[in-house]
Amino acid sequence: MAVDLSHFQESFFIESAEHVETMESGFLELEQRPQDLDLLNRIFRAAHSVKGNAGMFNFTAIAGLTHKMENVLDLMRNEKIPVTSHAVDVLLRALDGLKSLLDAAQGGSEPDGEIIQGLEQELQACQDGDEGSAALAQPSADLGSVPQPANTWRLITIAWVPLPELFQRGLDPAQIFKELHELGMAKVLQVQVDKIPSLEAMDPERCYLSWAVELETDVPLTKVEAVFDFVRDGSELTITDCAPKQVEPYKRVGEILVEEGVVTPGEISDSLAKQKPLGEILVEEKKVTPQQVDKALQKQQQLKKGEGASIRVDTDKIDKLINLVGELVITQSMITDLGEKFTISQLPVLQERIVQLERNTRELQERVMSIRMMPIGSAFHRFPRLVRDLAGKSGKQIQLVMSGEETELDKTLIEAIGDPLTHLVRNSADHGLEGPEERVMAGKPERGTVRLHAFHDGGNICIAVEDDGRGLNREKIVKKAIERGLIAEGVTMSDEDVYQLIFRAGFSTADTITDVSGRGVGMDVVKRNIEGLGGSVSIDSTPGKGSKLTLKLPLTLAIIDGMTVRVGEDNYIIPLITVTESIRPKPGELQRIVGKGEVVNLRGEWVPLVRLYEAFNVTPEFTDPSKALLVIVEAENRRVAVLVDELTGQQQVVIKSLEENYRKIEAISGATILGDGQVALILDVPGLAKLARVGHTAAA
Amino acid sequence: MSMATIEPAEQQDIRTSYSRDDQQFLTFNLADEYYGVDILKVQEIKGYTTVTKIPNTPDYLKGVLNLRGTIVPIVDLRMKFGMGETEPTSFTVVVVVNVRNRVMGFLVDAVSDVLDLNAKDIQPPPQLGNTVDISFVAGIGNSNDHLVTLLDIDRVLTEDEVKAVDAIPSDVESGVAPA
Amino acid sequence: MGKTVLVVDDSVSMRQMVSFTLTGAGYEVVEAGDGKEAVDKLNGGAKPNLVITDLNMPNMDGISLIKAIRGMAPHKFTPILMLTTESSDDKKKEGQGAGATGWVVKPFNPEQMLATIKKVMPG
Repeated sequence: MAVDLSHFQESFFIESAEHVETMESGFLELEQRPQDLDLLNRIFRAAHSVKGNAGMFNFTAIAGLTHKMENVLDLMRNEKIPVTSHAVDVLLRALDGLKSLLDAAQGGSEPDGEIIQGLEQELQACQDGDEGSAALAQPSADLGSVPQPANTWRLITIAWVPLPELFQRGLDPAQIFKELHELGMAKVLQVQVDKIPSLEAMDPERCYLSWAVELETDVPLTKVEAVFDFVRDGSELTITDCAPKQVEPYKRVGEILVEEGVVTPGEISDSLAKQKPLGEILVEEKKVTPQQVDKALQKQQQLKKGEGASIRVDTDKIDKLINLVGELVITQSMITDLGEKFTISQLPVLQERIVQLERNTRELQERVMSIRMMPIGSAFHRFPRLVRDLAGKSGKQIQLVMSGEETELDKTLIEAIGDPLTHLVRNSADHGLEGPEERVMAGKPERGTVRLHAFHDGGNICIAVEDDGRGLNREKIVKKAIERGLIAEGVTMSDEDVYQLIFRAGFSTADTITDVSGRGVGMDVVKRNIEGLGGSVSIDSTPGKGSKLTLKLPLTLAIIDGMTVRVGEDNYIIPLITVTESIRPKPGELQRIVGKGEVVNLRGEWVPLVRLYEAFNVTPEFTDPSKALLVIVEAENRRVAVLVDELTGQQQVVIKSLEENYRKIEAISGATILGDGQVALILDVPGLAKLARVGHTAAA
Repeated sequence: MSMATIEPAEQQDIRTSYSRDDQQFLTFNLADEYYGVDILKVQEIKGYTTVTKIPNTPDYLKGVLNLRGTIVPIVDLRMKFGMGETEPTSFTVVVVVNVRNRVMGFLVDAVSDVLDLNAKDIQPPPQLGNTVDISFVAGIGNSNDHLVTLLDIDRVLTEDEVKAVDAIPSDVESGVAPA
Repeated sequence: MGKTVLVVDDSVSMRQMVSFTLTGAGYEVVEAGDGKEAVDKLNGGAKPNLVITDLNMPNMDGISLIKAIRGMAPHKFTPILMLTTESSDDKKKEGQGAGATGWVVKPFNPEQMLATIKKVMPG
């Protein structure tokens, strides 16, 4: 039976990523608490699991590297070698190597073999003694096989006195005989019963018998011995082969060569590393063409890409869901029952059950949503390492304090905020915190602190990145903004407005461009990414005390806070996060500018106007802006005024796809179902902004 | 020969003859004409309620409806076939169908019947020259002395509309402004 | 046949692979994510004809699980195979001492595992 293991590779990669995280955070903790045996055991287990599983999936290089890591860890937990910061360093770098190998196995680019080898050597150096053999102990690195000598029909005699506890280990002598029968003609010559005690002394759970068996067979002796693999310990076993003696017990070719001193273990590893991919060998043997291999490889890549993202869910959550569905079914059947023989006197019962149904449904909805929820901690994992590296590079002393890791949010969001958060943490460490001398001069502790804090705030989740550094420099920002032409000279601005300037494109305040940040890809990207997720970024800073950036995100992408607006008979939803204000313009504040279309004067700024009834070709109640209402929305740093009849309210809405059954509609991002069952369309604000500009060019 | 060996063979014969030659159609009215769709494509029939209009779509797309949480587009078949807009009456219903994994609703004047038709009772669509688009007609059937136009539901929404999905520029800035 | 195998491993991919192989060979499979879960399942009435367990697991490791199973009257004689990466005899001895019937050394291929199961599965 051939089994295709690739089905399970996805799980392997998910698990390995978790183990890698465990190891990474573990190594960092280990530096603080080198004596923590629990911690070492935890890390060891993670390495061990990766090694074992990688072997199963034939990822030899991964198994090889983790095996070395495991060796070092094993020696550490047995206190054979000390936990030094050098050793942790090596382990951390080996972990990076492991990550790149895992990446490569998932279709990423192949890491430099030399680097991996170098890492393995460094790990080896960390171990005391025990050299040589380790190189050969690589799991699943098959060094080739020794052909078994041919065997002739012959007689093998077996004398077996099993251990008395045979049964207690789930073993059964009958199984042994069955197996022997499969190898050839087995004949029990003698059953020894002399050890059976008197009836009173007899324990029926013990085995008192022993056997002598004669086997006529042509299989190698090893096969016969293998039958007794599980019963050998504690047994007296003599197997005599009447055929000529076996030459050598089974060994891998490499092992034999090393033993004979022909090659060194290192050379074997080198050669193993040179083992060619299957495709190359097949091409050389002219079994396939290179094109066929390429095509197969491409297909493999596609398959990898096409893999649906999966999510791991606590069985607990699933059990609760199942219970809820059970309740729902019961409620439903009660209502059906009621409906079959309904009389008006039962109206209160019906109402009560409908309330129950509502409660079930709501709870079910919440639970289903919670499946996608994961603790944000998984997005925080990378930071201890990042901050350690940053500190090392910049010569600063940095302490990272994280809290609220257990705060849950949508998995998609967790994945999406990783990069923006990294940017913010880097900024804090690099620009925010001062060097040790500067800090001491400012009367602060030498060691700076970066604080990462996640918490719930209503229907949102907030993540704050805070440092106790020098704070934002208002003058410097203003000067830079003028230099870059972002603002005019002599404009008075509030602190908040000045700080917001750092989110403008092309703004970077670093005096020197460092390795870690300040390359000009900056805060504008962070802001855009967060806004793209329906979130916002706010900033708070005190000169000399530090700054704090707060990301505010919706809990999930499937539900948004919406503002309902009406145009004629139609209702639309505007994502609340994009709405900055709504105004009723005075007649003089509107203007039509050639090439720019219609604009409205908003405290000195000309904002393009979109008349929703025109854009969507519907009949409004008002066409005169001074009777209607302008909703000012902002997305991707652009503001647009949207003309509607009135605001009708605010509510949370569940986003539904229009594309599922129809198609994408310009300036509409989706639909939702209102309380009365009616469908309302959700406006796509960036799309509206584009519409506004297209309108202008068309008008020009 | 035992009964056991005969029985399955007989059953199979019956089944294949049924699926090969007999088809069931849901018939409905548009004005005073009869139409039919393969009943296997029909998901449900639902009363007509107010729809939500979708901006900048063809006239025959009445809008979308909420069908137990799914947003379903509703097509006015009379308009689609150039027979004028449907005037909702108490008989007006929406026939919800599954077209290539999409759920759609067809607004029709009334549903009339389920019609069993044998393959030999279905005539091929007539040749009407190039002026009339009959690509969505699967055949013509006969029921109680009136003709039933059998629709190939997969084709009622033609490739044009499928293409329309891709035609929307993802970034209007770099594309041509739609008229 | 309908023989049931309890598969205990904290690694989902291993569990999936083992289950897949076993189901393919006609066995019924019950899964558990660690020793504790396995004990719960056994106490909850699961009656496997064979237990396959990993050794390194959180909460309750394989050795403790094997001991626990041997302490349960209904499962006293149930064959238990341990999955181990250690080819060293120490682990095997430790497992046997605890009452393990046999072992499968990782990495193994499905055929090897099925052969080993056949070796210890009664009937």
